[in-house]
Amino acid sequence: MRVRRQVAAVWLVIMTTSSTCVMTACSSQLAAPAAPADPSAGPATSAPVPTLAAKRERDIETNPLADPAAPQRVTYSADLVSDPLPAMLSVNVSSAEAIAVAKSDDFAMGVNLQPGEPTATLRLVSLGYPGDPAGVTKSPAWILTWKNSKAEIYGPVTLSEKDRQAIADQAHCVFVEAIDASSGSVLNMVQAC
Amino acid sequence: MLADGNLRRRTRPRLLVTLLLAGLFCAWSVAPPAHAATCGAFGHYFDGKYWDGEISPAPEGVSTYIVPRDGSLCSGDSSSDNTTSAWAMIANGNGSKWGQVGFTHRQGHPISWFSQFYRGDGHPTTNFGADARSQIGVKHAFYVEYVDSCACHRAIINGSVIGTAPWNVFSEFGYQPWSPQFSSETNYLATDVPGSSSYPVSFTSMGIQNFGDDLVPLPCGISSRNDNTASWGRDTISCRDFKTWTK
Repeated sequence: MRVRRQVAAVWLVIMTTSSTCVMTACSSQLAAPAAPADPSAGPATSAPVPTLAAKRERDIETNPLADPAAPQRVTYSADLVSDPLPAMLSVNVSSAEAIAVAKSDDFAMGVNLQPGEPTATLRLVSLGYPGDPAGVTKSPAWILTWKNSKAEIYGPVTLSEKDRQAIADQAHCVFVEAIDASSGSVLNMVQAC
Repeated sequence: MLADGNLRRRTRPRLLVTLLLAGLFCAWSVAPPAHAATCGAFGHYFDGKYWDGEISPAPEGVSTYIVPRDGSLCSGDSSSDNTTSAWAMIANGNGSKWGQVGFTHRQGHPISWFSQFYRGDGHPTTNFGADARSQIGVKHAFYVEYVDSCACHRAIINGSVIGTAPWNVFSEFGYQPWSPQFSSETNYLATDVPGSSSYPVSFTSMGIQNFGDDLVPLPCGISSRNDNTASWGRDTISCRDFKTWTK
């Protein structure tokens, strides 16, 4: 009995110590806690139901590898609501200067980002194009815009560091990001400098 | 019931075994935190290939298959300037203007496709695609295509356009012949280029788009560069195939 108590005591110490070890080791790997919700953001809302007809339709561009006679891509876009940002998305823009985008005419990955987007707007965006094997889906997405003070320059192997820095310093970029309103995943981001 | 002396002789080994097992269990439970190297000096570091000088036929676009992989980013730079990536590019003859397509892992973001176009006006146009982590290990087609109808470059991945240069490249680029380039890249020597020796980034079937708008195999004679031979590997399979990885 005494032996069993001793063994049990040892295991109790082991489990406690191991838990502490694991927690200590894990703590450095944990992601930073999410920023607390902005108390001025108002109550959380459920997913909005679209009530407006399309404000505009726009031909974007044809798939250059597709049959020229195939239908062009069209984006259906409607303003749903301009609520304050959900807490998880506020982290993305809280440290950045947010301005209305001056140019966002680029089209990428089926999400058409329109010029003159407000700072944060919930929109219904089309993903895909007619004839896309995956089909065309419509999904609510937050369109966020903000300004950064420099550009991320990739560029050729043969471009000098000095020339890269000159470009980066000169380029003040506006970022436009589309985030799936349901999952929070980034659909696309454009850096316009 | 045994005498106390006999009991002590039998219980001591059990206790020692228990303590030994306990020590092993504790050591196993403590997962050492992943160690990321400290970043050091910011810059642009390459492990790849680039064309230097005359090339025939003269290219207006580039294409390749790339198998994306991931690489560990160094610690100390939490901005999105801390990247590891791999890409294909067509640059003008003095490297001051370019059209580029590939994948990139930026600090704070998952791996994504990207394209960048620059015509020397201080305003690069960059597109970052959606999360591409599910595409790691899968071969994809990357193409910077010259399109006659707009006289522009388009970045295309697996047939889908992810970015467009909204200008006439033949008016803007100058400095012919242009240079096809294919490379892995980081912003710190302490960051890993994507891939490992067992799972490298593979560039295969590298090609160029000639002035007749045909895709043709890349000629032999491309130059190589590795800014971190101590840590990064490269294996040239043929004139049109090579691999890069972190050792």
